[in-house]
Amino acid sequence: MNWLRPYTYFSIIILVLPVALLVYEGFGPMYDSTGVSMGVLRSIELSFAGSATAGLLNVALFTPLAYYVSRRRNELLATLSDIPASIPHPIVGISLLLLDSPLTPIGRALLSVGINFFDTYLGFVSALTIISAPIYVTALRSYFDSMDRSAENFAVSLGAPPQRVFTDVVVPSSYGGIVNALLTSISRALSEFGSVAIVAYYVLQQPFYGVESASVKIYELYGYSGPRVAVTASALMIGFSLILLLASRLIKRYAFRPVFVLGGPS
Amino acid sequence: MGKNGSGKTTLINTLAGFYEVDSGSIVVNGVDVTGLEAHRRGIVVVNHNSHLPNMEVDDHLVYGLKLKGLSTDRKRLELVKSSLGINYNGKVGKLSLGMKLRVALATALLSTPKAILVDEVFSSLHDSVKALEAYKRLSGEWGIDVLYTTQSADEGKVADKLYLIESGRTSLLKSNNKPA
Repeated sequence: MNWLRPYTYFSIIILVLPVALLVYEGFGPMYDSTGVSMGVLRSIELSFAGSATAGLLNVALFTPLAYYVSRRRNELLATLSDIPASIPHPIVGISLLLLDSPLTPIGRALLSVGINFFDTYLGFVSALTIISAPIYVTALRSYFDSMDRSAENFAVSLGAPPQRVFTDVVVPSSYGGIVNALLTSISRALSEFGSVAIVAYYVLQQPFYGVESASVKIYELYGYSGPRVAVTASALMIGFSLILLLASRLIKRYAFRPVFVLGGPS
Repeated sequence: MGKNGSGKTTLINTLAGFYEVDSGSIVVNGVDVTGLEAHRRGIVVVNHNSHLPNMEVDDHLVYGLKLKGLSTDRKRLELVKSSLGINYNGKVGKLSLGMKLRVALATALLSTPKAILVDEVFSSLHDSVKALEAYKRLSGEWGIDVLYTTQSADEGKVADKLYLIESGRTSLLKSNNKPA
């Protein structure tokens, strides 16, 4: 008997059922208009803005790291880059606050130049960046691992030093992989709660003054307004996340398809 | 010349610095390059995937020169293009295999390296012997040594020195007493 197919569908049901039920209840029997209030929409807006910023920071800060780790097979660096993903996220939040605390020399130096993480958009984005960076690095490293190295070797043999190989050959050939890793890291950042609740429970800066991230807002609604409101707000957040997921699938499928040219003179 | 698995590609990758040497040394034009990083050896490798897919043909052809900070000699560029039949433009990654290989061979030549190592590329070109003879003529005029691997006896005949490689060991089959 071919059990693989029913087993696969069973696995998918395990993953999808709770979310599907929540969406159904949130927009159906348990709908509560407080769950789609302006406050909830602003929280979702903050989460998407912060996650997108964190994703772009991942691209700028960690693309070279992913490439270096891939090519040098440097497992020490790979392990170090994975640390934020392997510790409880509230600890990441506490460590960020400590880094920026007047109790430490580094914190005093940062504060003296106006870098403040506590309840700021900078702190919010910093937490999301650090939490999502390991996902970005891992995804992009896998992409670089799977790349054919002939073009790089050709450039090297022409005299290109490693940094020129990276900028001239690897990055222009890797837009698909970078966008894929970026979208994966944005999805991860969107779901972050633990570190954000410590570093920036509220963002106390314009244009998000007094706004919480979506995950914090939903947690708060669950505690203070009851499950019906939380379920509706959660369903709304899932709706926006599904749009991102769908967009990322479409981008992966259509925007970065490899071009194959057959025939032509040789 | 050598059959599949005889060690042709391993030899080329070792000479180019992509593989580490367990013992012995690699000497190019009297200079020991064994300890040099691949990008400092002045040895260009051309194989079936040796192209920079996102570059335009003209940018690709002068990439090696650009890396050295040298300007393009238009006359030389046109001579190489006409000798190798490069009369097309566009992104290199979108060209056919044969067109890509011609661009890669031309890029290697124009970068004026100490040596060019060509790994079973000519046999993928239309009229491979003619292309090989044109390449030999240009590289000879510019004093660039070319080492190419092949499984074709006809292509082997073009070489000044012909070696047979079996299980990683080489034996000289023919020599025209010219630099190889």
